[in-house]
Amino acid sequence: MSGTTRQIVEDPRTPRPGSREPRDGQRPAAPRTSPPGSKRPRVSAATLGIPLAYLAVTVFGVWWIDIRPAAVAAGFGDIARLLERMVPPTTGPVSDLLTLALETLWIAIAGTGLATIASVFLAAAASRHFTGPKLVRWLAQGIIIVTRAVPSLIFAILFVRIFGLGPLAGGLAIAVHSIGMIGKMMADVFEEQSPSPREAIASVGASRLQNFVSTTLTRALPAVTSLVIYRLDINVRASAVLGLVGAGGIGVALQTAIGSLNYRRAAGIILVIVALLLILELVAYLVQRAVAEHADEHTQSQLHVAGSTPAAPGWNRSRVLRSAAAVSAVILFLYSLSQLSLNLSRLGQAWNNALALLSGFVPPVFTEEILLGIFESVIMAFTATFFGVLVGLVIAVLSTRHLVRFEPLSLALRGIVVFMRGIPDIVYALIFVAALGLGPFAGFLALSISCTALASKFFTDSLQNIDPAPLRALEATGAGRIQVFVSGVWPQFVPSFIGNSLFTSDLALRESAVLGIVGAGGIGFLLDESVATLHYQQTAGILIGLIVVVVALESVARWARRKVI
Amino acid sequence: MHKSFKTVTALAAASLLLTACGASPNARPDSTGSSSEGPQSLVFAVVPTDDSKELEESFKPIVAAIAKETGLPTSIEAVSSNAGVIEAQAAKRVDVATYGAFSYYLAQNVADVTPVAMDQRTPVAGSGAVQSLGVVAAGSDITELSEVKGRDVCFTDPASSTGYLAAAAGLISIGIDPKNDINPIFAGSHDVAVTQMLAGDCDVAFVAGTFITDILPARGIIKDGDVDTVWTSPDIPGTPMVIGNWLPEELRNQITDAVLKYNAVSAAEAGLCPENQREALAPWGEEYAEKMACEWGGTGAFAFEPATDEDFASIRDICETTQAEVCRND
Repeated sequence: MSGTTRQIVEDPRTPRPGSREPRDGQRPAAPRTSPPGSKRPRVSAATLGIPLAYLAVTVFGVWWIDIRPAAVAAGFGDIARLLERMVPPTTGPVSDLLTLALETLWIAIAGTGLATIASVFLAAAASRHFTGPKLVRWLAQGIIIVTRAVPSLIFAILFVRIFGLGPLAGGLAIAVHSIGMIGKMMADVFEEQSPSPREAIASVGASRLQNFVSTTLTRALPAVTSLVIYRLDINVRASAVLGLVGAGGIGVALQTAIGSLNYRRAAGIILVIVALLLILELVAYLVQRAVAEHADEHTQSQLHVAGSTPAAPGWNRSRVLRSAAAVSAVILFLYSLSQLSLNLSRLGQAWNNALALLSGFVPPVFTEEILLGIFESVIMAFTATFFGVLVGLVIAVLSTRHLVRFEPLSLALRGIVVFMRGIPDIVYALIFVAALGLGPFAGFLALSISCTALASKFFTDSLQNIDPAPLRALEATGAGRIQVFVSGVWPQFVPSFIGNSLFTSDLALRESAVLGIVGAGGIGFLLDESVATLHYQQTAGILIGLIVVVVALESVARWARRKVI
Repeated sequence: MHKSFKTVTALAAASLLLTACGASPNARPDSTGSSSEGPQSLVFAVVPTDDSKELEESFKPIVAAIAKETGLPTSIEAVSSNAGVIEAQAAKRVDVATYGAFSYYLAQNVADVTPVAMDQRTPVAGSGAVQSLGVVAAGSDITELSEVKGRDVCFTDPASSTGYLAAAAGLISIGIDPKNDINPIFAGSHDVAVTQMLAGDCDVAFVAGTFITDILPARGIIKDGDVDTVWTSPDIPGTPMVIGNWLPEELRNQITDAVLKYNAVSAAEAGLCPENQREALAPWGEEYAEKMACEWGGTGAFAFEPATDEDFASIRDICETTQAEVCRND
């Protein structure tokens, strides 16, 4: 392959010597000088400190929540009686449900697509490798954090004032909130890349844009597509927020069914959602295989074969497939945009309406209750993350090929995780409330299940995207599977393990609205309450609190990444 | 690095130490509470209704009254979902609860509970009842309910009695099918239904009366004369207080008596809310003017009055008229 063409080859170097070493070691500003004489690679403060910090919070959380597994066993009878009321699932006319599911899917695709486009630019600017003005980088990082910290509920009530009731306000609320996650994870992916191709392209005089497209973006594609499809999955599930803007959809139907205790109908709706998620998971799996062929096979991925002239990439079957898939994705996205029904005449008065709403948010009010709510949510989120990460890690290892190569097991596990995800938090909450009564324990269990689903998804994806070159090299020396895992897979996995664990807490913090369902308080309950009773000054206080916590988590994550990447 | 490591270790040690001594603030009593000699403690659960604020705080005096009269420690749980409370009741893990009248209609199918009291906004009996209002923007060509046929209509959500069910029953009673003869839009909340009706997204909105008379004007979201009321529903019963039948009868009576014994003013006099008092509200009349009162429940009620299952028959009637999806339990 000609060296002058766009080099899209995964870093072909031999295994990096000691993956814990910073890859971009040439950065002069590396103040962490290790004491002289210590030659052995040291365990970084982040790899040790963060798990220990989690352990500490968990120990406190276990005491604070009063976790007693025996109580669950005592409630089995009540759980069984509740589950009996959920079967057999009823769907009503299936075509109605499918229409609702499609409506939701279109809005989710439009929102996720818009978020993806915005995120490419924001992530590029927010990444540590961005070479433009500092101010732009800070601005991009700020937007990503704020859109992530502020729940889509808030964007929904804002956009409904601007665009009126309907799918447009819902699609945009989904889009803006999604930027926070897609942008963050995309920036992480960009930062994890080895700098060599970028430097090579820069040295031949390519512009920043050319360089970004040909090295950073192309290499990030496998990870980015799976993350975008995952966000789509989240957005389908979280579509109950569309009810706030009168956009309907399947999430609203589910919420209504549960609110009126019609659990059989709820079960039917959940089955439809699970079917939808399974399709998305399958698409994600196929896409990932298509764009990341190197993941399971050889050391080099050749995205493009040589063309007729050395400088032009040629076509082969996989490039045709990739391009066709990309074109269909774009068509789907464009069609979904047409479903948003933009009403331009509404925009005239929109500005005043939005200003009137926003002026209600100042001055923000902080109360002791808000501080307590944040404290409760953080403790619960961390404790739930701890258990979720442990179980999620086991699931992820079993469903990838590194240790166990038994395809049916990995497929079954993937299916189970999708099913687990498809069941909304409130159903878990109800089940545990029946067994345990109201209180933090039931909320903690429900939150742990969603953390498990989150963590196992993140871990599976990053285990799958691991650079196989070092593994093959180790195998060539005769290392066993466990040896390869310990010295080849694990060191590569640690950065994303820590990053994704922190990110799971970040997401769990916002999912902690489930705590309100079981009377365990938390910030989500206060937020809903303040919005429902139109106490927007308190809402503003809560949002600022949320932003502070997310910024703190993000700073720890960034510090950890600097230490371990 | 050493420093951060030490900090973390210290934190871990501190939390271990903390854990070793003292009971968790969330510790639960071991007994499940349905033994024949009665429970050792009570759980009181509250769900936000349309106009409740500072839920937990406002129920503290009532819980204090119950704890005082029964002699049992009573904990209060503020819960965001009616399903959460009802399932806890079905499993006999919530002893007393207040939630909307429609939630009670749903609960009686699955949980063994009886309503014993309902809130009362003023000293007048029955003043806890609420209405659903049909409102239009001032100057709208709609002046009465029959004219909404064929129009865009904003509701709150399908499971709201003031925001949908009562209005649907009203429409059916004059021969308008709320599914097919109008274009229903569910706005998700009362305030959004009103603001978006004013913004032109729909021609008429059906919402809880308190939003039009009190809440939205107080928040400056609508001003006098912005909206015209074209329809008022029959009274919908107020917030019931529901007790689990699994409690011994004596205890149930004690709880009921505790709640009915006081009103917001006498509760303040009895010292049930030493820290959180406010002046008596004007609608309570001369007798209570300028006296101090407790927050007495989430709706800022004056008192509770006795109630029975009969008082909530109108919800059953609405459900029978509308045959609404949310009323069915299949």
